[in-house]
Amino acid sequence: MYTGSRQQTRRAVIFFLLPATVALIIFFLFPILVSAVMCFVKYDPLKGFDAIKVVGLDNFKRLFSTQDLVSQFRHVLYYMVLYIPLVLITSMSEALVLNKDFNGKKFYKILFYLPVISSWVAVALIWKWLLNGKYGLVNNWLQLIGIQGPSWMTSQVWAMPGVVIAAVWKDTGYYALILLAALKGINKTYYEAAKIDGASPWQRFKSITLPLISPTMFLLVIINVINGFQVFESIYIMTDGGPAGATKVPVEQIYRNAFTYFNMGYASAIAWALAVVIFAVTIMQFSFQKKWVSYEG
Amino acid sequence: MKNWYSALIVMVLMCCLVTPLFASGAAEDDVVTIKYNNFSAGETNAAVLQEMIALFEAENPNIKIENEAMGYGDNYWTQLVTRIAGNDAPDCFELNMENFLAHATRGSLKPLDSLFSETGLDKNVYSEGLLDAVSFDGSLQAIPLMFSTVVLVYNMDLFDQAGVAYPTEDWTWADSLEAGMKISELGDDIWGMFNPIQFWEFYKVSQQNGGGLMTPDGKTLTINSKENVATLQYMLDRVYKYKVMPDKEAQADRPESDLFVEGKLGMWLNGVWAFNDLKTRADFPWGVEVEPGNIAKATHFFGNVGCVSQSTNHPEEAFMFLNFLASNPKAVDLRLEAQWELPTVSDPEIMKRYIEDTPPTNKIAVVNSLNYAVKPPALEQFAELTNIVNTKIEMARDGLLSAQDALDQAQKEAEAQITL
Repeated sequence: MYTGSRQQTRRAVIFFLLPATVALIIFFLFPILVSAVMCFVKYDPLKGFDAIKVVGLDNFKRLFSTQDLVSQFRHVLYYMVLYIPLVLITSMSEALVLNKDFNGKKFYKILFYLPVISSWVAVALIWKWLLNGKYGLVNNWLQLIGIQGPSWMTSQVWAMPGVVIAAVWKDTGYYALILLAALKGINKTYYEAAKIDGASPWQRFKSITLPLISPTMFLLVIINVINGFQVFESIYIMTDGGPAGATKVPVEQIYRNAFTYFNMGYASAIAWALAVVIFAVTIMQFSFQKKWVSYEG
Repeated sequence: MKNWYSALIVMVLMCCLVTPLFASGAAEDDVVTIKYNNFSAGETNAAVLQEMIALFEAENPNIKIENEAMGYGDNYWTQLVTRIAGNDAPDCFELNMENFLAHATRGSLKPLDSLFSETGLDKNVYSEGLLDAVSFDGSLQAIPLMFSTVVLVYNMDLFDQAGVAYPTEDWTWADSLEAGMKISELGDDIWGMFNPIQFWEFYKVSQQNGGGLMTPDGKTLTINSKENVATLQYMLDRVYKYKVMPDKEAQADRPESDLFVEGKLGMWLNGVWAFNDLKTRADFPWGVEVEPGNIAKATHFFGNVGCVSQSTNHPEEAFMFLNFLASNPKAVDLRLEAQWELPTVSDPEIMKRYIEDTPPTNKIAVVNSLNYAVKPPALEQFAELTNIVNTKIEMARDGLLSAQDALDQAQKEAEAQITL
C-alpha cells in the first residue's frame, strides 16, 4: 500500500497521468481544435498552408444545400435500425448461454470473442465472399431452404443488410461480454425467490433480468447509436459507398472529402455537423432513459 | 523492494519505447539516401523492383535507395498526401495518371526540365506521346515509368463457333454488337461482351461517340449533351435491350476474368496487365484488337509515373534513380521479362520483343491502341467529378434513373460543386 505524503501522492499522480495526458492533447484535443478552425477555411493539403483561404460559413452552406447529407443520414439510420436490435438480441442470447454452467464454457467464450479481435479488413473480405451472389455460402444455405438469395453487395436494397450481418457477427462477442458481467452482478436470491413463487423462466427474465441489466442495455444502446453514426471501415471495405451510392455514410464522406478531394475544410464541416447530431441524439436518449432504465437493485 | 523492482521495469520499458525517437541514421556522410515511395510493384513484382534498385546502387555507390513499397490498396494515396502535407514527403514517389494530374494541377511536383539539362540525361529516350502525357503547363512534371493500354480481348473459339470473323482495327460499335449478339446465341450463360457501366468507361466511350465531359477549352461541363446521353443509352442497351452483356443478376458477383477464362465471354475490354493471368488460365486461343469506336476511336491509356518531391534535398539523385528505373537497358530487360506492364522507352527493338511474346494473337494492337489514347481531363476537382458522374451512371445501370435523367442530374450537381 502506498503511504507517501499528500505532496508525494500528487507528484505520483501527475507522473503517471502525464504520458496519457500529453498523448490525449497531441492526438485528440489539438486535432479537434484544428478541425474546428478548418470548418471556416478552404485548405488543400497538397497546396500547403500558404494557400489557405478563409471562407466563413461557405462549407456549412454547401453542406446544407446538398441532397447528399440527407441521403447519407438516411443510410446511417437504415444501418442502425437493422444493426442495433440485431446485435442486442445476439449478444444477449450469447450472454445468457455463457451465464450457465456447462462443459467447455471457456472454449466457447474464446470462440465467441475471436471475431472481436479479428481485423475489420479480414472480416470484411471474408464476408464479401460469404455473401457472394453465385458462390457464397450464405446464398447456398438459403437455397437449401428454397430461398434464392440476392447479389448482396451489388444490390441497392441488400448491400446495407450485408454490411450489418458482418458487423453483428464481429461485434456480438464484445457486447455479450459486457452483458455477461451485468448478468453476473444480479443477486441469485431474486431468482430463488421468484422460483418459489412459481415464476416461469420467461417471467423471471422479463421481471428480474431485463430490469436489472437495463442500465447496461442503456449503455450499449448509447454506444451503438454513437458507433452507428460513425460507421466507416466496414462500409469502406465492403461496398465503398456503392452500389450507386446506396451505402454512402457521413464518415465515408468525411474521408473522401479530406483524402480524395483534398478538401479539408468541407470534411471538417461534415465532421462537426455529425458531432452535433450525435451529441443531440445522445442527450435525447438520456432524457428518455427514465421510461425504461431501472437503477434499483 | 518489490515497488522499486516494478518501477525499474517500468523505466526500462519506457526507455525501450522512446529510444527509437533518438535513433539517428548511421549513414556515412558521403552516401545520399533516397526514399522511394511506390505502389505498382506489389507482391508480384517486389523482387523485380528490388533487383532494379540493386543494379542502380551498384552503378551509383554514393546513392542508397530506401524502398518504401506499398500495395495499391494499402491507402497508398492517403499516406502520401499526409506526408506531403506534413512536410515529410519521400524524395521521389510513384503516381498513376489520375493522381499525377491531381498533384500536377495543385503544383505539388518538382518540374524536371532543368534536371534533364543539369544531369545531361536525354529525355528523348522516352516516347513522345508519353512525354506529352507527363507534361503540365508546358513543363515536364514526371518520368513515365511504365504504361499499359486497354484492348479488346476476344475468345477465338467462341468467334469460330458463332461463325463470326475476328475483330479488326476498323471495327465499329455496330460490328461488335452484331458479333456479340451471335455469340450470345451460343448458350444461356454465354455472353457476347463485357464492358463495365461506370465513369471510366463512360468518359472514354462518350468520346468514341463525339461526346465528352467538357468543352475543348475546359470551361463548360457537357455531361448531359445529346452525344453523351446516346452513349449511356447504348451502354445500357447492350445489357437490357440486346442482352449481349450480363446484368448484375446474371453475373451474380462472378469476376469478368472468370467468365472469360471459363469460355463464357466472347469479347472483354481489359488492360495488358491481365495477359499474364490469361496466359496461365485460358485454355483456348485468344487474341487482342484495338477497341471498336463509333464516329471516332478512343482508347484507355494508363501509365505510372515517377515524380520528384518539391521538398527533397536531393533532387538530382532522385531524378537519376527514376530515369534508371524507366530507361536503363538492364531495368527495361527486367520489366519486359516480368511483363510488368510496358517500358516507356521509344526503342522499336524493345517493342518488337514484347510483341513477339505470345499469346495473345495480334499483340501489335497493344501498341496501335496508343494512337487513339484519351487522357482524363486535367481538373483540380476531377475526383469529385468522377464520384458525381459515376454515382448517377450506376443508378442508371441499376434501373433507378433513365440515361437522360442520370446525366441531367449529374450535370446539375457538377455545376453546383465543380469550379472550372
